Amino acid sequence: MNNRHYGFTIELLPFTNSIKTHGKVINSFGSKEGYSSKNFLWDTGATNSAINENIARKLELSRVGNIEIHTAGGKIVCNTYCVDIILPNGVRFNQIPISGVQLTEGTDVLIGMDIIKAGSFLFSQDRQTGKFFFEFSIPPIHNFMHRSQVSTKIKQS
Amino acid sequence: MTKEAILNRNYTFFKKKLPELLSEESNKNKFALICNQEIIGIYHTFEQAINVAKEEKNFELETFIIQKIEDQKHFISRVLY
Repeated sequence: MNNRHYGFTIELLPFTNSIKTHGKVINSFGSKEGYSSKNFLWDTGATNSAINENIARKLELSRVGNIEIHTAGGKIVCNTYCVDIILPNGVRFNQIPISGVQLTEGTDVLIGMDIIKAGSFLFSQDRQTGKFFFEFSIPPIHNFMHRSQVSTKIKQS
Repeated sequence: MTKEAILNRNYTFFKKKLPELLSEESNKNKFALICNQEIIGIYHTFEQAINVAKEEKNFELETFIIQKIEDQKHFISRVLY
């Protein structure tokens, strides 16, 4: 059994009110080049991961289904696509369904609970410096507060 | 018929079938592969269903759909429409 954990720690910008990281989304059935972005928003309030429709078009994603989603403006039916997602820690999610929607400005990909629940997720503030940190590790770590188990640290630009 | 119309018909078929699929406890949270308004199979994971469609059945992209058999609601607040 592979006991290795893949994790990262990101220092978030001061006065942050959202968790954004970089990441890459790739068409599972197309060009492996993909789309890299610093605007991957992690949202524990979202049940599903989603991609902005304009990026879905750029990547020429093929529709593989539909999903009903409840939004602030009511219920919508949107397309689902099949993508590979690469997170900052290098962990790759292959062939996962993602919903195509018009996300709010400044968000390219939304990482929802379907991905978040695959790992350990920690948002924290250092009491001495006031700095905010976001940590994520896959697979989930027993007692995640022992951060020494997390393998790499990344400083976000 | 356009690919979009084919996919829409497959989705309408799935929506009609969903109550029946959900009535079978063993189907819940599995993934249905649908092509030509027919259920090709029910699989434990989305990836399995994709692999059957692409590798075993050689279905062309945008002729089939894969739908999760569930009654759970989905929420995304950061949507513009």
